[in-house]
Formats: sequence, structure tokens, C-alpha cells
Amino acid sequence: MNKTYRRNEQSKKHLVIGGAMFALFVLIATVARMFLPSLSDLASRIATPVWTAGEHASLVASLGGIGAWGGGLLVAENRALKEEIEALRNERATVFADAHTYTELMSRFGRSLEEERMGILAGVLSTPPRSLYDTIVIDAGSRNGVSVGMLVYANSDMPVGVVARVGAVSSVVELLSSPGRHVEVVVGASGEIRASAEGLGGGNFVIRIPRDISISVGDPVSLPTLSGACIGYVSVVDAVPTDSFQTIRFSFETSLQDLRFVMIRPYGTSIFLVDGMTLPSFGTEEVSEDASSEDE
Amino acid sequence: MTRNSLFLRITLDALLFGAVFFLPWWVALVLVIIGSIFFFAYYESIIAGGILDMLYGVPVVFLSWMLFPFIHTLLFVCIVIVIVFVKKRMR
Repeated sequence: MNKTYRRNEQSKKHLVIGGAMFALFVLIATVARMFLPSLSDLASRIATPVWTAGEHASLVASLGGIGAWGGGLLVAENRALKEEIEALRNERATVFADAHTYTELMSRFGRSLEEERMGILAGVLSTPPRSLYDTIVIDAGSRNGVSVGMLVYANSDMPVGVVARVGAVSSVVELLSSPGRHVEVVVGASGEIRASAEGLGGGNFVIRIPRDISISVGDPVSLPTLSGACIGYVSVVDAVPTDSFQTIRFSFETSLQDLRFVMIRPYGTSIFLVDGMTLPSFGTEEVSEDASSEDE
Repeated sequence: MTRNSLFLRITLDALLFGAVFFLPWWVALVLVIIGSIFFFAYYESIIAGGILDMLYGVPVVFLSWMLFPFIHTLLFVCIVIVIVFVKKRMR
């Protein structure tokens, strides 16, 4: 009897402690949320050099490494010659890295760096699944002209996300495939089947459309833009006889893990809106000015 | 806390904060679980969760009514609390 009473008292105590800790967490979270932009900016400023160094190290390693070329021969050389060789090697590695970057940009976006000034070019610092959030972090921020709501492209006409948070030197991009986000898409080559694709995270989407509509694996899924940018291909069609709807699954054509550069544009070549996207302010100002002049 | 366990805790902290920057989120989750099991009240995990949220987080719809940008922090707090209670019960 005494034991049971003590146990009940203990569990009550545990409940109170647990509740108090949760309340404390909610309080801290609320306070932290008020300071989140500045805290996030500070964290990003600290993390950006770390990410950049990691990225550079992996790039140099993938190109063969600086110190791996003919180290044995250098032993016999004098110090001055050694330093000169080291300098040349570093220069060569940098040139290789630049050439690699340039080739990748040309192949991805199909135009030169000068032409790319039409949008804001940014390097990708982190890709999913670094966190539970379906986001990527890019190395361009408000200093580069990035603002919340801009569209982020993986190549010339394939949007992958919307800028959700902007710091001074980096930004967080929420992917179109974020859980719960809906994007209008066109399924099939005919361009007649329009549907709303729901994000599942990690570049994956699901579409629910009536079972009568004929869809097969491999059909392209594109955005309702002028260019009809293909964002992926149907990978699974799940139709159950008892369900009047069929479930279609697809994922981004571009691998998010291999994404190294993105292009940020206010709305660019796409004439569609996704959740969270905002039109740039200069557009609305022009409209309001025109409207006021017309009134006069 | 013995010198050995302090060294282990510092090593685990270093791994945890490294994982926050360079590895998938579930590696950090595994390290938080390991830390909570082997050490008393593994508070560092809450800081790690906060850093994850500040670096990668965007407000997401939580419990279908509020926008919440602290998913990792909440998850790690819950893990620490649950493991502390389970450890107490198992004594």
C-alpha cells in the first residue's frame, strides 16, 4: 500500500518535472524565435567558412589532391625550387577547380558567366538530408540581392525551391518538395493532364488523380511554364481497384545531392506561382504608379 | 564524473557538432541517443538541435496549426527527457 502510494507520488512528480521542462522549452523557443533571424544569421556566418572549406577540400581531393603529384622527386630539389613547384601546383589545382566549375556551369545553364548576371548565381553549401527540413543552404544573401520569395533554379529553367530565409551572406532555400507544399504540374507528354503535386521531402512528390486517367511509368512531369520545364519522370503508378483515385510518385530529375550551383531569379522564365513565392516589390510599385497616373 | 568519462563526453560532443555541419541529421540523432544513454542529462544535444534549426530551419506547420522553426531542438529535448525517465525507472 505504502509502496503503491510512493510510486504514484513519484510518477506525479515526474509528470510535473516533465511538464515544467516542456513549458520551459516552449518559453525558450518563443524567446529564441523573436531573435531567430539574428541568431540564424550569426550561425550562418560562422558555418559558411566551415562549409566552404569542406567543399573546397572535397573538390581538390576529387581532382587528385595537391600534394599527391610526384612528392618523391621534390626530396632532391633545393628549397627555393621546392617552393616554386609548390606554388605552381597550387596554381594548377586552382585553375583545374575553376575550369571544372566553369564547365559545370556551362553544361548546366548553357551560357557564360557574364550572361548569368541576369540572375544571381550561388554555390550550394548544404543539401538534404543534412536536416529534417527539406532545405538547401546557398552562399548568397541580402548583400548579393537575394530576398525572400525568389525562385531558385537548378539549371536554366528548372525551379527547385523558394528562398525562405535570407542572411547577409547566405540564404536558406525551401525546396518545392518540402512536405505539405503543393506545386501545379503537367503530367504526360500531351500537356493536357494538370494536377497538384504534393511534396514528400528529399525531392520526391506524390500526385493523386482519378484512376480513369491513363498514366504510365516514365511519363514526363513538367511545370506549366512556357518552356514546359520537365522536373521529373513518373516512377510509380499505384492504382487499387477499390480506390477511385490513383497515386503517382515522381522525383526531381536533378539529383539534389549533386547540386553545386543554383540560379536565383525573381520569377524568371516561369509563369506560375508556388506556395510561399512572392512577387518582387518593384513590380507592384510600377503597377501602383501606373494605376495612380491613370486615375489622374 | 571521472576523467575518462569527461574525455568520452568531449569526444562525443565533437562528433555531434561535426555531424551537425557535415553529416545527415540522423547521425546527430544516433549520437544524441548514445550520449543520453551513457551520460547524465546530455544537455549539449539541445544546443546541437538549436544549431541545426538555426542553420537549416524554416518555419514548418507543426501540429497542423502553428508555424514552428525548432523541430530538431524539440526532438532532441524529447529524446533526452524520455531517456532520463527510462533510466530512472530501470534503476
